[in-house]
Amino acid sequence: MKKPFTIDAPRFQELITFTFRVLLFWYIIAALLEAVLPGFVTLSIDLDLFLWAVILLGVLQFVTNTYSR
Amino acid sequence: MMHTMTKLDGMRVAKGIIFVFPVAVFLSLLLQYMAWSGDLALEYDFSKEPTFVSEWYPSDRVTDRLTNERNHRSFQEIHGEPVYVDVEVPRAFEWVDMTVTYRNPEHPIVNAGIVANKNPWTVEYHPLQNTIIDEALIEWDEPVTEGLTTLLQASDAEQFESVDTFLEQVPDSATVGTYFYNRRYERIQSDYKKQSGELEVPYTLLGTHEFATYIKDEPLHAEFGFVDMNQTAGTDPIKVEVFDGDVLIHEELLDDDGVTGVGESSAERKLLVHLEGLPEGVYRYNVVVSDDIAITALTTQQHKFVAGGAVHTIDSKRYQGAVSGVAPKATRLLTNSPFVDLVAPEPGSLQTVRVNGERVELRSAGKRVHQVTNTSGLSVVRIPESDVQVLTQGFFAFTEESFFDPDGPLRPMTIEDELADFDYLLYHDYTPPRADGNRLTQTVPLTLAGLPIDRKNVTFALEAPYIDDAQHVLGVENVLFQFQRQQFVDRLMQRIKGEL
Repeated sequence: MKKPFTIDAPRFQELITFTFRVLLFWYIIAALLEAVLPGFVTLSIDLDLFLWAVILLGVLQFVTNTYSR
Repeated sequence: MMHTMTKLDGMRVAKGIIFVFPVAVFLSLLLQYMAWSGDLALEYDFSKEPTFVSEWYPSDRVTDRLTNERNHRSFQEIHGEPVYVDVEVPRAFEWVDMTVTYRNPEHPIVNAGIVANKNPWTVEYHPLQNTIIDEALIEWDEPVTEGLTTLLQASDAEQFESVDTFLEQVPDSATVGTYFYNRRYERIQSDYKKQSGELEVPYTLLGTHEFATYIKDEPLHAEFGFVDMNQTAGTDPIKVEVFDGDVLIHEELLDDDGVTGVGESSAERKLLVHLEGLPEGVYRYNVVVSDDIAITALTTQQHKFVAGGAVHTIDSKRYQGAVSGVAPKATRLLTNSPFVDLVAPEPGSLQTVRVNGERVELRSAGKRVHQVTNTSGLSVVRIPESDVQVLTQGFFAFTEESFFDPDGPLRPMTIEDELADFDYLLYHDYTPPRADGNRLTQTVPLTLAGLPIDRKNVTFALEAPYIDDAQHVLGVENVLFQFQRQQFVDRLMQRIKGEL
């Protein structure tokens, strides 16, 4: 029988780091796009909320990294 | 080994989802920005700071954003008019449906529209709400509809089976209230007889004016004199259009004379309209010019000749130097309108105007002063120092003998009217707003294609005539703009076909 996908601390930490990097990359892209094409992102997405999500993930990543050392 | 693979696959899947999700969002934003589907909806409910849809302005005609404590709905209250809202869109669209959700406890007429040109400022209004019609739809008989035009008939009035039959036989004694009905009513004046001689308008007029005249077995003849005052920079072309009903039958153009220096007034230029063989009826001249152009002479061979809508005479001290031959003198106008609106454009033109002998003080430049005329015949408006813009919903004559009423029993409804004042109502392209308790919702379809404006930054307008004088308010809770253009694929196919 196939075991269900489980996540342990290092993998959770890896996933958070990966998510943070992806979102940070897309936030930079979104902010640049918005500066060049006003409304491209903000017609549908609140850039401030997006930034808060990135900051929270950054903090979470920092905390999990510090905790694992 | 199997266990590691499962973990590895799970992690890969999770990372894959995290990676792919923003890409999908980006693609969806790209399609939306390009208006791939041809649609874009922008909504503003006044609860947050505005982004692409602004708040209503100017601030002296609206309140700040307010919140209803009971239902927690945000709104802006409109107490002056017209008010505007700006909408920014990433692409140029061809059409837009403007949906307004509002509360209107008591104001009878509200219109919404689009700023179709910002220089000169031109707003194309459409019906939003007319409570006189709403009441008639409940209390009167079934409406008679022809295309987008609707006729409502009071139960005790003579009944007509079609709009055309009605317009051919409008009873002379009837009162017909119109709303956005722009097709001119062609009233045959059975007692009309042509007269020899010329009629001269004894005043100098400023800017765009509309005139109406009547002919029977005679040529349509008018000679205009124009002076370009060059008070502002830029060219000032002159256009005179002649309409038979709502059909443009003739157009005369005068390009700018080439004198464009500010303050350098040009010499008077003449423009003649002479058309023979026209059938009997009402004809209208539309003189389309900027406010830099003075109509210094107007002579016609017709003896019935009136101005419609608005008249601005400038035989005043302010224009004495700007136009040669202009000397200060009083203006005397006669009108059949139930009211006149008076606007002194500059502090120097503030004065006391007399309407049927009654004093009307103009104390503030640019402010419209509304004066009910309260007379069944012609009202006399006397402006001692001229340079006051006079607006009506009827017609002005410059002498008693030259007055005639081109519209006959048809007159636009005003906020002072009640349903009992009318025998018939005639209106174009209007259905009452949808009601949800006290909240009303109305959608106004507007065309953007072909407008000489930046179609990525569109200004919409809302007017509720004389809402400030009546001390009424409108609470706007929500505005939704549904922009439309051709789908990207259709545009592409059209372009490819065009290339082939």
